[in-house]
Amino acid sequence: MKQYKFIIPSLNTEKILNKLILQFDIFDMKKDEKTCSFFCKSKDKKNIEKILKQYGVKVESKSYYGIFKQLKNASSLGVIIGIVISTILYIISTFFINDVLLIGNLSITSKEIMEVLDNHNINKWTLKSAVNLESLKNDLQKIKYVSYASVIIKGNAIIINIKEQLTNDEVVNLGVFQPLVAKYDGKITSIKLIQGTLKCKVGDIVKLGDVLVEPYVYDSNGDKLSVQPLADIICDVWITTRLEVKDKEIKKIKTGNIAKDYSITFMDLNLFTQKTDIKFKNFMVEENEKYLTNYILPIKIKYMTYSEYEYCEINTEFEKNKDKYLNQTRQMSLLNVKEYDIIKDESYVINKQDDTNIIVYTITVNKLIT
Amino acid sequence: MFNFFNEIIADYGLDSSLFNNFNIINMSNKLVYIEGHKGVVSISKQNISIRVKKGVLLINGNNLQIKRITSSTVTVIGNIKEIESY
Repeated sequence: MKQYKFIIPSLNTEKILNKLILQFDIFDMKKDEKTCSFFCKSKDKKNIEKILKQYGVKVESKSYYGIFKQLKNASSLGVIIGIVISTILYIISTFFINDVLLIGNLSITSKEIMEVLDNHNINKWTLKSAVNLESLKNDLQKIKYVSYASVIIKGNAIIINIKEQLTNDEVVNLGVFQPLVAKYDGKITSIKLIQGTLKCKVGDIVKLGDVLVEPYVYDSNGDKLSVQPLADIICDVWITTRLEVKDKEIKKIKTGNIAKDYSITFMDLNLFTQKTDIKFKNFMVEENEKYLTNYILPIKIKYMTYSEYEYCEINTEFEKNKDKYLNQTRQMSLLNVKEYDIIKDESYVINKQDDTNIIVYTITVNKLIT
Repeated sequence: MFNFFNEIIADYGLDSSLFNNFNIINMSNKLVYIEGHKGVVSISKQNISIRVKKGVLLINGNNLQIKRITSSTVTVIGNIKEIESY
């Protein structure tokens, strides 16, 4: 912007002006009978002076009107006092901390760090010189899970950079643990070891209670570290059900003949009894009793029902009813399959021993055994 | 340089080669903007004459002054009474 003012004699001004405007921008040109004044940019000042000199134009005066000139002219006492006070306040404020920046804390809360700062009496408007950075750093490093802390003061801010510990499960879980054992019989199909020492491999057939993962590891120094054994071991587990069906079965069948006795008692004292002469060869007995009155007078009647039965030999017709028996065995196996188990295969074997048919139904499921 | 001179020519579908001498804007007789001047002929508070291609522009008025002048444009402010071209 215009910063320098030239005042030159007004004679032949136009000629000089036409030379100057070829190279420079001229502002606020005024001309009267004796003088001509104009402004130019600060950067053009020297070149304009040179051209004026070249054309023999005497510069009557030149003045600077830049920002420093404006400040120089600020003669108002209020402005000067304002500038001085602002400057003093600014300088004073540079001696204090007015911001705390935390970097790198992920699991450690800001509150924990601010507590340490509070213990050191660091807050806004604490003098920078009053902060013991080394002591603060040491205390920050004492916070749980802080691996390293650095503290610097930059400008008016105190910057705290926290490096958190990388947690290692093996170390965290140090203690006394039981080995991981198989919960079912099965054949291992996949192993995902998280920690511990593996005692099995894919393809191994394991039984309920077999140790799969030992609760320790060896570190790089060869030291045995106790850890919580963790592993996802998936097995093919065989769920087997056995059903024996004889060709001929002897069953108790009720004939339908019954006989009844009853007795009336009061507080276990027998008041009346009616006995029937039982002539059945084989019979079953059922007892029922109920109160005749309310509980205040505990008079009870007790019934004895005798049902006659006889043994019958029934032909099971296994071959004819094989599907029914197979389905029955399958359903019994399925009772042991959990909802989330993945059924991989189903098979059955029928053996005959003497007059007994033995159905062994096997469902193979893929399941986590740890 | 103001582009709207070219826009006016384009709007009216005129031959731009006919309008390559100079352009003037007079704003409320308080400011005159001249584009395409060839230098200043004379300067005084009552009149300022500007050389243009094939002629001269004479600005008459009171308290005239050159507010800004560059190699191709000039801005005159003051109480402008008339602008003559010859």
